[in-house]
Parts: sequence; structure tokens; C-alpha cells
Amino acid sequence: MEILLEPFQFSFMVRALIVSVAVGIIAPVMGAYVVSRGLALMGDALSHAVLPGIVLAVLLGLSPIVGTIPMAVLMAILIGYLGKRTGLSEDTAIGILFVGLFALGLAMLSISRGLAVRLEDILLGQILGVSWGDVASTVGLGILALLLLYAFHKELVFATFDPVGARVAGLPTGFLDNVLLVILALVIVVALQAVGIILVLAMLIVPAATARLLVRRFAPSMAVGALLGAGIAVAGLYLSFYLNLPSGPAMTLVAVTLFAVAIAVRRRVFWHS
Amino acid sequence: MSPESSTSPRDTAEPVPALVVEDIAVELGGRTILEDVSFSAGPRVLVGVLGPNGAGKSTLLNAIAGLLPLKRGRILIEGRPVDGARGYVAYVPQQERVNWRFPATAWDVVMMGRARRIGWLRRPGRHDQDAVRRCLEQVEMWDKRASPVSELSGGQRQRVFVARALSQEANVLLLDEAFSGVDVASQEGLVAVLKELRDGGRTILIATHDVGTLSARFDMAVCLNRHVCGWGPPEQVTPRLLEELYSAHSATHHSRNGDNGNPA
Repeated sequence: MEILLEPFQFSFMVRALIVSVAVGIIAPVMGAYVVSRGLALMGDALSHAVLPGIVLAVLLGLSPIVGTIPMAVLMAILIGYLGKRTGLSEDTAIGILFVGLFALGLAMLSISRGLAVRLEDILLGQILGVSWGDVASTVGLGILALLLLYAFHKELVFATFDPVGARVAGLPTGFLDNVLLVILALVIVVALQAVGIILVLAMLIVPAATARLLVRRFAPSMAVGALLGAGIAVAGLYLSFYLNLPSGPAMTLVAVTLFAVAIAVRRRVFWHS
Repeated sequence: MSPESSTSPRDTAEPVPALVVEDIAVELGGRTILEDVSFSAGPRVLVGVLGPNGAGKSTLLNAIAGLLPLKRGRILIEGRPVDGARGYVAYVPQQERVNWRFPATAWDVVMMGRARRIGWLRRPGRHDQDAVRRCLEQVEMWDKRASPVSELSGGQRQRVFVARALSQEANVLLLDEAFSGVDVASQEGLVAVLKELRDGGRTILIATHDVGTLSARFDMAVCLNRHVCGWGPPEQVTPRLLEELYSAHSATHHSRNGDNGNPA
């Protein structure tokens, strides 16, 4: 019991716990769409492409979140535009913007030396350093993302399963795709703080994919993903505290281990049924 | 061709035909896919859109669904131009165009058809659940409501999609290659369901490249090969279609091949 409670004598650990659990719940709910629409590359690209926004915000003395949201939305718009304009496949357009904007962010970071932001924190997450303000913005944006997913649920579901049928039925599928990208951007911004740029994808797809192995309906798979995500966040935080690991890798390792277990369990279930 | 001859014999005098295709042309990527295509169909007609691969069957269905711009001509659904008729047409896509990674049960898929009726920011109510139940019962898939659609057979999937079209409350149903991947026994069942819906007042268009074996199931047939090369009762138009299409394709064509039902 003491081992479980000890970390939370420190208020920075309490803040870290709130942020990680929030991310653990929100990211897999969005992740259900990422997994079934094949948006993994898009999620990875968005998380890297916001780096110039983060650097710019910090240079201006603002919270990193202020810079990341417009950056992610810009990236999402540019991808759609490039794909339509050049006729290149979408993953190519994503790849080009991904590396271009990430490189720009790295260059900005290295020019502006003496900035009160470390590359390592951005790449790996800085969950132990979050302020109460960060906690409030993470939870607030997370709730906003969940509300949007709830509000557009039946339309997004139809457009994900059968885009052509949905369009014929009168749904504005192009608009819905953009709504989903904006929500994805929000979720990435929320998750960045906990797990960093490199590992955002971990919280976005691993718990959702694990849930998908265990549940065969969409909305329930969102709920199971959120449960798994919250558990992963807490377990990862303990690992991070006791083994002195960065929080991002700790949570990711827990998530991937659970995924492997789910595959094994599912196999057994199949064999026995 | 008089208006009477272009609708089903069982059709009573209807002021507005369910579907009018008027001299349309469609281009895709600079290539003309359809040209001079005209026909109309009243309610209570099962129309086969027949033709070989590449004849423009899917393009025609997509144009009627309002998914493609017309270069010329117009399409009216129950008297309205297609752009303004969103939701009055229901579309059962080719199986490859559906995202089978998405985990949905038969019930979930049919409920999708209610999305537009329910409206933005609302949840399905009692009324919608009753509608889904009725539609699933109508295609005899109520027992399978909890099964993931990805695990259903080809014929069962088509029934679920037909039920979704019904739950949308559209009067014009478009089915693209509805019989591919459906075994012969299930094809009969699917046709029986579609005929029942036709008798309930709907206009149903089915595109298929399988000209020989299936054509007898339709009330009317449009034979398509970029233009309309035949429109009428299937037994009258399919021999002409086979002649035009397949004799042109191969100099060594024997008319017997066409009778075997699978000339391609």
C-alpha cells in the first residue's frame, strides 16, 4: 500500500497522475477512429509537425498548447490541399509535411539557444514538470475533444464504415473528415505533454488496437480502450517513478506489453471455441 | 419510345416517375464514360443495369446517386434534380468500397441508415430502433442483428445493406454488383427480398456484369456499353446486348457462347 501511495506525497506526482489518466482516457477514444480509418501515419505526422508551433509559443512566453493547436489544424488543412492539388497519394503528402515541419521546428529550436525548453522534454514528454495550469488545459481540451466525438458520433461512424454510402445518404463526408482531423489535432496536443512527440502514437493506437482485439463493436471498443489507457497511464507513471524512466517510454512499454498479452489471450479463446 | 413502354407493366399511371435519366454524359479524367444515356423508371420496378466490365455501370449508378458531376443532361429523382435529392436515394456499394476493419454489427449498420433522419446532435430514439428492427425483419436478418457484418456471408451482408437502404426511407435503391461474392442459392433469396421491396413501391437498380444468368430476374433491363444499347424487358434486350458487346470484342465469337450465361 505504501508503495502505491508513496509517489503521491509529492504534488507534482498528483498533477502527473491527473494528466496521464486524462490522456489515457482521451487518446484511445480518438484512437478507435485512427485504428479503423488507418490514420496512424497521420497521427504520427501531426504530432511531429506541431514542433514549430511549440517553439514559437515558448519564444513568445506562452504555453506550448497555444502554439500546437493552430499548427496541427494548419497541417491537417495542408495535407488535404496537397493531396488534391498534386495528385500525390495522401501518405506521400503527409510524409513530406511531416519531415518538413519537424525539421523546421528542430532548426528553430537550435537557433534559439538559451530557451527555457529542452528538446528532450518535448520529444519524450515532461509529465513530472506540468503546472496546475497545464493540468487545467489538458483536462479542458480533453473534455472538448470527447464532447466533439460524442456530438458527431453517428455521422463519423457512418462515414468511417462506408464513406460512399454516407455521402449518398446525404452526409457531408468531406466536412466530417475535417472535423475528425481537428479532433485528432486536439487529442495530440493533449497527449504531447504526457508522452512527448515521439510516443504520442503509442497512446493513440496501442490501447485502441488492444481494445479492438477484445471487443467487436465500435462504441464498446472505445470504452474498453479508455479503461486500458487509464490503467496504462497509472502503471506507466509508477514505473517511471520507481525506475526513474521518462514517462513516455514507461507508458509505451506497458501499452505494448498489454497488446501482446491481448493477442495471446485472444488466440487461446479462438482455440478453445 | 412512349412513356408507357419505359415503365414496368405492373405500374399504374404515376404522375412523377421515380427516376428519370435524360440524355446524360459523364466524363472521368477527360475520358467519356457515358454518353447519350436516357431511360426512366416508375415505382415498383426492378431494373437490371447490364454490361461488361468497363461499360460504365458503376459510373451510371454513381451519377444517379449524385456522386459525379454530369457533363450534359440531367437526372431527376421523384421529380427533383439529384443535387437537391440527397437522401432520397440509397446506395449499396461494391463490397470493396466498404471499410471492413470497422467493427459493426448488422444492427449498427442498419442504424447508420437512420443518421440523416435522426438529425445532427441527436441520439436514436425508440422510433429509430423500431425502424431498424422492421428493416432487419424485412430482409430476414433479425436473428443476425448482433453478428459483426465482417463475419457474415456475402449474401447476408447484401441483405444488411439493403436493410440499411430501407431504414434510410429512400424510394430509389441502387445496388452495385449486388450478386458478386454471393453464392447462387443466396442470390435467389436476395432477389426474393428485392422483389418484395419492389412490390412495396420502390424502384431498384442493380448493376451486374453477369448478363446471362441473372437477367431474367429483372422487370426491365438497361444494356449499357458507354451508351444505352438496349432498354426493355430483359428477354428482349439481352440477346441484342450480347450480340453487340461480345461479337464486337472477338472475331471468333460464336453465338452459342452467349447462351451459356457467362460470356466474359
